[in-house]
Amino acid sequence: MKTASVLAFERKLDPSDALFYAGSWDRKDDANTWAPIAIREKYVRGTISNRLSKKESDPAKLDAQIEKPNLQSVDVATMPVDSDTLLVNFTLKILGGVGTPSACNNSEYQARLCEVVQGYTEGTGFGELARRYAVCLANARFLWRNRLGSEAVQVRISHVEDGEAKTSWEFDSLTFSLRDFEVPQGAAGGIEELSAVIKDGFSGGKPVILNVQAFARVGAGQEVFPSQELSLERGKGDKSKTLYHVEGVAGMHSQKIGNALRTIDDWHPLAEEVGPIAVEPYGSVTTIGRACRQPKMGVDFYSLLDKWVCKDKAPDTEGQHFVMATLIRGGVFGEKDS
Amino acid sequence: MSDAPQFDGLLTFPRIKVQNVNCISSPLTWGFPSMTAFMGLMWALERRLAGREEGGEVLFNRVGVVCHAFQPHVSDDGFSHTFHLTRNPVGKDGKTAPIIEEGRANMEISLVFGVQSDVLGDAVGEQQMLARQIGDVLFSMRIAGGSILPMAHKPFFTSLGDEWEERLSKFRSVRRRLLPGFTLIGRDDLLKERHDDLLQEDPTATPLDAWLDMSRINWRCSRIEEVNEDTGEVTERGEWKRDAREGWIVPIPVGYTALSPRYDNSEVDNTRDDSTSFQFVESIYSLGQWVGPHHLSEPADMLWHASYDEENGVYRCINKSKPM
Repeated sequence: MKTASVLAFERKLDPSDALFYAGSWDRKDDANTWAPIAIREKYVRGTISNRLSKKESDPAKLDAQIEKPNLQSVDVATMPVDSDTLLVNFTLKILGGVGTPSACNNSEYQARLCEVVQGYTEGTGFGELARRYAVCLANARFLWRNRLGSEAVQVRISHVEDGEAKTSWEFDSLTFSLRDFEVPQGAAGGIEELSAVIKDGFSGGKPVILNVQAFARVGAGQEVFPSQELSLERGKGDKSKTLYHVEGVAGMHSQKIGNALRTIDDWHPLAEEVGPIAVEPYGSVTTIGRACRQPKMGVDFYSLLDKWVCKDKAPDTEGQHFVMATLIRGGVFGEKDS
Repeated sequence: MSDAPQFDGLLTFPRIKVQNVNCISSPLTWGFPSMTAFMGLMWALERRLAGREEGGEVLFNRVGVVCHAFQPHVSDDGFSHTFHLTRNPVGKDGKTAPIIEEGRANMEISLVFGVQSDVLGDAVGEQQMLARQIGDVLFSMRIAGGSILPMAHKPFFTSLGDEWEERLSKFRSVRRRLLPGFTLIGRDDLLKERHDDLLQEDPTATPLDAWLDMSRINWRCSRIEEVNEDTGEVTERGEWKRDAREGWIVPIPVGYTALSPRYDNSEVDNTRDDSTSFQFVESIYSLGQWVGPHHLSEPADMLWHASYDEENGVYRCINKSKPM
């Protein structure tokens, strides 16, 4: 069977932007009264410290360049001096209909794909994926740089139905390892319940909404790290770092939260060395400039999916998890006519 | 318009927050998503509901949108704006993926659908239940490419009744819940008017000239003669004046016009599905106006419907209203 030339999936794990608030550790219970963290601009007189061009050989010119001050304006977000705890708050929407494409121009292929997903749901099931997503919520990886150097991190997750929190869980995030998906003692019950809720969301019916609050004790007055904007066409002398905010509140892009939540792929060939990576069709990791699932090894998403759907050769369980996780991630997977 | 679809009631989704909506609405405009996006949303919602057992039958005929807040993701240096882009995952060779410009925005909107349904005659409790179920379906969809955040307000049906007076008073109560905000209405009349004016100055002026003229701030200079009362000396000076505009007029895309005949699906490669027929189109433009919903007197004023002219291949969204 041929694959569809137009094939696209919507994401099924849909986080909101995360917003930053500040308060104190012992007042976590009234977190809804905490003050938002704002972005401010600061101007610094720095030094020239970049590597100079090798072509420049005139010593006088070299001197002149590195002795010049380097004036910059940058955005910065910090904790107030009287608050030691950062609250990062977002909601996560979990949708059903995994494997139903949002656009597909080959109905035969779509029917076959539907069968494959059905087979996975009934056989292997979304249990393992849901458990891993639950661990990624509990371990607070989505705090990224804010997690490093925090004295304590607590994540509170509540399952929201009709606008009200129905069930809630609390996790001590620093007891979780970021290298594997072992659940520390004491958190096992919570993770199990949370995974069941997530699994429910994938199985269709009503969308599941989780409200996630992460408290990180970063220290009063310390810098915190919202997302940085990528702005091309920046002129000389323009602000060199722009941070993201939502109506004045420092925030982290939903894409960045989503990337941390799907960091569940430790089934790839380089897992020993690199550890778990975000689910991507080629297992690509931007920070290390590598793709861990090379097509020549036959373990990338397209090779596995085509074998599974078109040739009816199901990959091993880990491969199946990976393919399903990529469908949950969503994207445009069509094949160009050659 | 005689062929405009009728509606007996309104289904309102107040204050939905949507993030990362596409704010490049056409090749020539950017900002608030195009009406065509909301029209598409309405049909997609209707189709999804049609496949469900519960929920009764609701026909979605018209759509209106009220914008309460809009935050485009841009850097603004006072004169020009630059979109904030995304750095996408590296390719299979580990190299940076090319950056494709996308415009995104966060917004808070209210959606108002003009509907026909038997449920409008039912008890309020049943209406609420159905509205909530439709809300759950809508919640799992995208609006103009953006994701809907959890909804804090409950959707509701409003039966408009048969009497004109009743219709107006029912609409007044809905209208109150849409404040503060602005709703987009069509102002094709202004475009026509401006074009006629331009034709008097320049017989070769096209509607595009009129459209561009209305999309910018025009400063015009006129010559003023001043007579010095003491000496009787006449001096001339220039005075700069800005074109007066009534209200907040914006250029908007309103639909599509055919560039090719309509092909059967099998004749074109790489279409989105394998059954719908296919036609190449380009955007058509008109003028819109943002007005406070309290300036509108009847529900049809804020609602848009679709029209299709098969002969000329014009697919467009229509709203004909006159603000008070």
